[in-house]
Amino acid sequence: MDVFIDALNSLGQGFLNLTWQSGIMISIGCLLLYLGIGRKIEPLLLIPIGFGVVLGNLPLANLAAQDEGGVINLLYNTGILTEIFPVLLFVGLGAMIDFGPLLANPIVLIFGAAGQFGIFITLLLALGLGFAKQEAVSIAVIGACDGPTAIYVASKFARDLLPAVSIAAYSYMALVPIIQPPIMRAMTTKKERAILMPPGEKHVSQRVKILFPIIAGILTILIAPMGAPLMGMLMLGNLLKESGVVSRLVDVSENTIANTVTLLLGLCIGASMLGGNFLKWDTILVFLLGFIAIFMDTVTGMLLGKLIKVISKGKINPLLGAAGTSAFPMSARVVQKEGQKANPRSFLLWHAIGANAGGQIGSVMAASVMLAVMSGLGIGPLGG
Amino acid sequence: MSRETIEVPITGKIISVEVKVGDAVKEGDVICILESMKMENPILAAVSGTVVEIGVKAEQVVKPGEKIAVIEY
Amino acid sequence: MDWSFGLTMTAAGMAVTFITLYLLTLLIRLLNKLFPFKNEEEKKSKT
Repeated sequence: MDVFIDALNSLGQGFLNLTWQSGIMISIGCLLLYLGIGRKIEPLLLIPIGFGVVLGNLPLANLAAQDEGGVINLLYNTGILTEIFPVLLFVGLGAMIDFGPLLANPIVLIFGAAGQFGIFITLLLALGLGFAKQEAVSIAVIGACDGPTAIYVASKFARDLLPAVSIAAYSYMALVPIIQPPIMRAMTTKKERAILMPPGEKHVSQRVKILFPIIAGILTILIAPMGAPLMGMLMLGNLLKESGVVSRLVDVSENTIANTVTLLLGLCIGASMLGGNFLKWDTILVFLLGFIAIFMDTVTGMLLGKLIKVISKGKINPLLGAAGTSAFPMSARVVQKEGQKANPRSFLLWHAIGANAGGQIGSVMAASVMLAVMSGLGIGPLGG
Repeated sequence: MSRETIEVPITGKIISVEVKVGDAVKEGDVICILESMKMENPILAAVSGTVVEIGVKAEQVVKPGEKIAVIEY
Repeated sequence: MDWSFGLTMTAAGMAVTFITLYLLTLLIRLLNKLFPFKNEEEKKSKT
């Protein structure tokens, strides 16, 4: 009889070990699930993340990313701490991205640099608020508007902030269509937004499309070797696509690999959001600073847009500056919409996609430089 | 009466046509939806007037410069 | 706070990003000069 009671006892243990923090986190997980399923906001990310949060916070389940030897812990150690997941995502990203508009009109590449300024303003702010250097760099990279880059940098330097940083990066990417337009309108007159640019697609030779990822990959990696895993994979993905002879590999990269990794990445990130490391003041600060980062990216992008409008004697629509963030293709779409709102004849999409692809390269470059400076100064990961 | 021709701005596929010949449209109304670069883009009426001609139909693959619609105003 | 760290990072980051992207625009121009688009399969460009 005693054996029977002992056996029953172990069944109820979960309820007895439930803390209020895990209760809150499980509710947050359910909220994410509701947003993903009920409101259809980024379901591909929110469902794995939301369920990961629920699983990770259930007591005794041994499914938190930090639970030594647990299944999710194994995935987390091999996929995220080694940076394999974010790097693999970049192959898919490269296969999806079309550098065509950028190659046809290379001047828009410059917008991709201006769209990264928010990263560094946020870095200064985070340092000012007393974050350690490693944490400040990880928070600032939210301004790259790029989930995998943010995860890559944060997992390298500040693992405690990884859940907050990655959730902030992905949420703000999704919120780009809401965050950017008011800034774009505030910084331009209707007349500027209405500037027409010939929508015409210019063609580039297939040879250029093939040579670009190879030569640009070599050049950028020689300049900033620390970013090689990201840049290398991005260019590899793009080369697979443009080569035109390995459609099977392109298909695997942009579908199978990207989807598998997104699922596992989401699950691991979710399961690493625990009461202890998420329910704290720093998380709110991370979200706040991340917002400033994307806000400032847009502002500096627009400022450059206005400058280039003047230099080009009014031929370039300043809205394109906002597409310099690497939220691909959200920013390009926002630019297209705002341009069309100001002038129904306007069709900026082609140019905006070019600037947006430039932003993708720009954000990887900015992250690579940060990694290079960190290693140059001999600053390693926080807390081992 | 003047005529305004709306042309295809970018290579893509027409998803749907939202107006028919004889419809009165206002500036900014959606004429059709064009899918390009994996995005659905509305093509808008540049002037207020009457649709007198439509050059595309749903599912049609289009190239820049092709005629989408003519509006008389 | 460590201003010198933050400012070094900002200056290096923006400078290198800008210069690299500028170099890439030059590279693209060069590639387009070497291999101009020759209406490889179809003649369609009107504008």
